[in-house]
Amino acid sequence: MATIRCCYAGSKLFNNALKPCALHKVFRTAYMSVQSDERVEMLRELLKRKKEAGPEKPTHRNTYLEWNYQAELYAFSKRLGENFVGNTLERAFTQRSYVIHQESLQKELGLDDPERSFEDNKTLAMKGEELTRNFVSRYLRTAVPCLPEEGIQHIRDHLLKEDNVANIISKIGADELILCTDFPTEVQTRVSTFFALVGAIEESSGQERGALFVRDFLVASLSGQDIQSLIMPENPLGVLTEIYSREGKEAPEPRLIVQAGVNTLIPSYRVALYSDKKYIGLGDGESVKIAVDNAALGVLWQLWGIPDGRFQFPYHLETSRVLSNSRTNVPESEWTRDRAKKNIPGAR
Amino acid sequence: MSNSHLFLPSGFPRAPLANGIGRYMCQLKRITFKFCKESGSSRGMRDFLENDLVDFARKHPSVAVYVKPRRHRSSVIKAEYCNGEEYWMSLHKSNREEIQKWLHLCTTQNDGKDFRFRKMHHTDNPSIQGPWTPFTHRDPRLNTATFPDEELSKPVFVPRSATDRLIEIFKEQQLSDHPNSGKSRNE
Repeated sequence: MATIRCCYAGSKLFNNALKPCALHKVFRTAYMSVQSDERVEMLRELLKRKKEAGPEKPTHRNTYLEWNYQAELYAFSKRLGENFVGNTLERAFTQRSYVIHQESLQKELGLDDPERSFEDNKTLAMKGEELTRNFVSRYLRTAVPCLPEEGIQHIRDHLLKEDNVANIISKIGADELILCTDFPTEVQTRVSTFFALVGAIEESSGQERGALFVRDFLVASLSGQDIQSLIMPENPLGVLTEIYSREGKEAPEPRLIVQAGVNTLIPSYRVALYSDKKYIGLGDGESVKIAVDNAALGVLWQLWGIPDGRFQFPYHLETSRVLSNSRTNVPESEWTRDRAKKNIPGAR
Repeated sequence: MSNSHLFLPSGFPRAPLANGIGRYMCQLKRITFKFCKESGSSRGMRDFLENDLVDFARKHPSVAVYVKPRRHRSSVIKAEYCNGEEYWMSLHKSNREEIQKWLHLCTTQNDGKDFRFRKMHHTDNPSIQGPWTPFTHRDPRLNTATFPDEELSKPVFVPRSATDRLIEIFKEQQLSDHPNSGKSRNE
């Protein structure tokens, strides 16, 4: 009680506006460690101001105390399982914007040392982009040799879409390692970094190793996607008719073979295609047109070597075999079974 | 699934970036061990750092390892994953073995985010025979039948009436009353 009285006396001395419950408050703060009203008020005010200020801005990982860029680069190369010669990896991550920023900083500091100049990833990116585009086309041609060339181009364009390529960089943990001035990193920055990485691997370990990286990360991103929807022809029966006329056969004739629930909300039609009075394919649909389209598509997928429901895209083709394949697929306007067969290695 | 899991993200088993279809990549990219040099609650973490940290780093070269001493705070690991997710775990008063086990979890999981599996399997080709239609598995007899067909117009299943059952019981009784009559008929 003596201490309380002492505190009370002290507070009387120093606090002019003493509240009636001061004795009680002193007792609470001293023995029960309950927060005082002033502190609660302050926290409340801080919370209010925090809410007014809005959410906190994201900060780059390199502003953290625990950040060692060289260690991160080492871990990254081990993560990919690639070896990089010299500072190739760091060069692949250096963007033009970063170089300009660093040079201006050096000028401000009065350093004008030509040996301190940085090299950006432009040349690596150009090299890598060429390899990537070339390899993806060749890979698709090797994987689906009977598909018309237009289809190959559609799948390739889908794979090389900026968002798809940039997504790979974000998902392999390379986003924070890019040396650039934009934060969060822009799509274009990540795309050029991906190509620069391919270029860096090519420069360090050779073309095949660079191609392997493209296969394992870019081509593998096709898994789980519907390849057929990427190359869907607008008028399947028209395409099929053209193929049959080029082959000198009678045009496929759709015939309605079964129908059910015609005047209901969920009718079902089954259409079969015949050429020279021989059955070539079957399709179902909720209208006759859809059934005809489905029947023609079924035949086309069969001809193009990607049969419905049974096609497994090969993700493990050997890179050397792919790189040595210089054949292009038959364009859609000239596509016949005989010409497509010539593209299949070992089928002649 | 309880009510608290209604808003939990759900889906099918998946691998980030087709991991393993191309090459396997350990999804853990960075791990920070935070501990106190004096406090008893960090005892297990200090043991771990003294004895096992170098082995851990050697075994996982693809993980950037940071050690961060902080005064009078309990021990914590913060794991950062390739997709940008973070996994924070308090290891207050955990011993060395427990820390090793949690680290094993950190190095083998995708990102540590809570996720409810709708099924424990996944396939890109859910159906080999294609979508079902009313004509799938149809009786071949229907191909040549002319309608109206008397046989096909009958109901598929007619339950036995009580009268039928009574007649059956009556016949059974007759057989058991005169076993010889049945026998003679067979002969």
